[in-house]
Amino acid sequence: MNQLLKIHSKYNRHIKYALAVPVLLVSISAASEVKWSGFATIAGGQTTSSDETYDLGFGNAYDDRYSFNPDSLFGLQASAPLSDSAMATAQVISRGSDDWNTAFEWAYLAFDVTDNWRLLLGRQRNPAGLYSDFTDVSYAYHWLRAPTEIYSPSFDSYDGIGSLYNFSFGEVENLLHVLVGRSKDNPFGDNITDLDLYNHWIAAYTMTWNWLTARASYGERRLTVGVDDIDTPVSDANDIDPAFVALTDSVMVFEDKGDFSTVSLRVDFDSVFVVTEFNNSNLGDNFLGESDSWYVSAGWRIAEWTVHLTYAASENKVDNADEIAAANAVVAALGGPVFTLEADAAAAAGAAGLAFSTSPEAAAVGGLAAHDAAVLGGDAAAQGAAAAAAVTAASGAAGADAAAAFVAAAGPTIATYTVAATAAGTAAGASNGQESDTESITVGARWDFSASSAFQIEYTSVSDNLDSTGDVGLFSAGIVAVF
Amino acid sequence: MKKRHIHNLFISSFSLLSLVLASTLSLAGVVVVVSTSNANTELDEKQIYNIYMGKSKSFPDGEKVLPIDQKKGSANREAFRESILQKSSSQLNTYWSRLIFTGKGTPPQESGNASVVKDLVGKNPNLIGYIDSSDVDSSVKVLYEL
Repeated sequence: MNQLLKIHSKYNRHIKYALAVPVLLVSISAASEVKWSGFATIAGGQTTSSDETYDLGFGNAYDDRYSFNPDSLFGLQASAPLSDSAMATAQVISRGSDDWNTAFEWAYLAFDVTDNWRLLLGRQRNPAGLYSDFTDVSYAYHWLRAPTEIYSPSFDSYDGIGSLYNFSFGEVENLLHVLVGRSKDNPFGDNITDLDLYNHWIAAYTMTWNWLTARASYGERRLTVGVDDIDTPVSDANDIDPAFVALTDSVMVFEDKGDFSTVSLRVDFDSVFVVTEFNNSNLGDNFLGESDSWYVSAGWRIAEWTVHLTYAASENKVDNADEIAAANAVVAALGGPVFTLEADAAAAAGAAGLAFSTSPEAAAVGGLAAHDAAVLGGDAAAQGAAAAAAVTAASGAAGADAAAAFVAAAGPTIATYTVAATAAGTAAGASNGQESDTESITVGARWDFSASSAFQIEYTSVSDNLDSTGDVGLFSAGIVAVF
Repeated sequence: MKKRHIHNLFISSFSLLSLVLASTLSLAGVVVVVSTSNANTELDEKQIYNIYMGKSKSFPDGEKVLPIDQKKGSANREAFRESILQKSSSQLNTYWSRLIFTGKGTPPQESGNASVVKDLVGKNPNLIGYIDSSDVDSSVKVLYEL
């Protein structure tokens, strides 16, 4: 039953909106002019060596066997006027990475309050960066995929109210975009029973003058991740040893307040353009920490060709000394071996650092997936295996070894489960939270062979300051189109 | 200096020649039209550009404006794009795809050939279109000649 509920929860988004489809279609077909439009990316790629994977986020990764799934997608939008000033729009996207399942990424009513002020009510994208609104529409920018250091695919739709206000000062056009909303989308599926991004607000200001575009955005939100399964054992354990209180508070992501800001600058002459963006993302008072990411990209247009070069870097900063100390205090109180989590974390940070640079949210959820999965299962062996598997998935083998070793040593008690779970979560969190710098270079070319479609080819090389685990090269190519 | 002058002269005669050729071929130019019941009397190139790029939503007199395009590939549409919008088809597609898929805007309605556009514009004072000058009749008035 529990499993059923989980499956239901995983596909809840699809089911909920699938039910909405007939209603929407009926009302759309009743309207006179429905506008259909769409976009597609059909692309494939592979990494340059057998032990390398390139993760676009949430485990959606390229490996050394050619694959079409990670980047390919197909989007379809229907838009129908309801009155002179109101319009209903739904946009569905099928992704190769999601077994071509269809999900509603946008579904809103637009109301034009005045000529310059539009409200969007419903599901819409978080307008964090220059390309956030149309990250999925590869045709609309020069890369095959927007820099993954800042843009993570999906996980960015919110249900709420958006406000778009345009105004101009002489030749300068301005756009103030505000969004207030909530997201319960769960890209990780089974291991996380609840993912809640709420009290979310963001304000983005864009100014455009001739060849110059400047943009700044700032937002805040609270984050709670999948505590359902872990609540009971943790509260039991809290009775056993009060040291747990400090540990679970520091490890669990529960109503934690985070903030994020992005500044962007784009210079675009006819044949040359340069764009740069800087993003700071702080995921709140937990082990997830804070990251700084930025990139600079330049392109040259020669007739139907665009060649481009991008440098991107991501720095992951966190102070997790408190968490590590708390974990060790608990483990020591229960008579277990003391973890040297710093060492485990350092070893695991290669993989986790890459995950984190790809998407702080991915790493956040990854850490909690480990945390959550570790309390599933009925006996110590399963417990250990679950913890090991989860931590391996989230942050590499070192954390898993630590968790499994501890379970083997301490034996099957409720406290053991919880310590194993928490230690696994902490290890994952600690390694995710390791200081790590990654950088990448992308070279690419785009050929606009028709007015609405283009061929793109790219090579990306990623490296970090830790070891070769996170270093990867990726070749990818494909067709992007709008219709 | 003299060389430059000669060069300019050459260019001018050449443009003149192409203009003559072009008008001989099409026998007419492209004009921007509104209904005769529309109160506006003129629009400049920049105003037309803003209307067709979705940047302005009303006529100078404050009435709502709805731009309409001829169908893809029409000679008038190509001439209008090159002369007023001054963007390639790819650039226009990129521009609009950033707005269409993000709830920020809708491109001009695509509505058939010049005579269809003229009929629509003639009946609705909120519409604006571009047609062949040879299609102009009493239902529409010309606000701009390309």
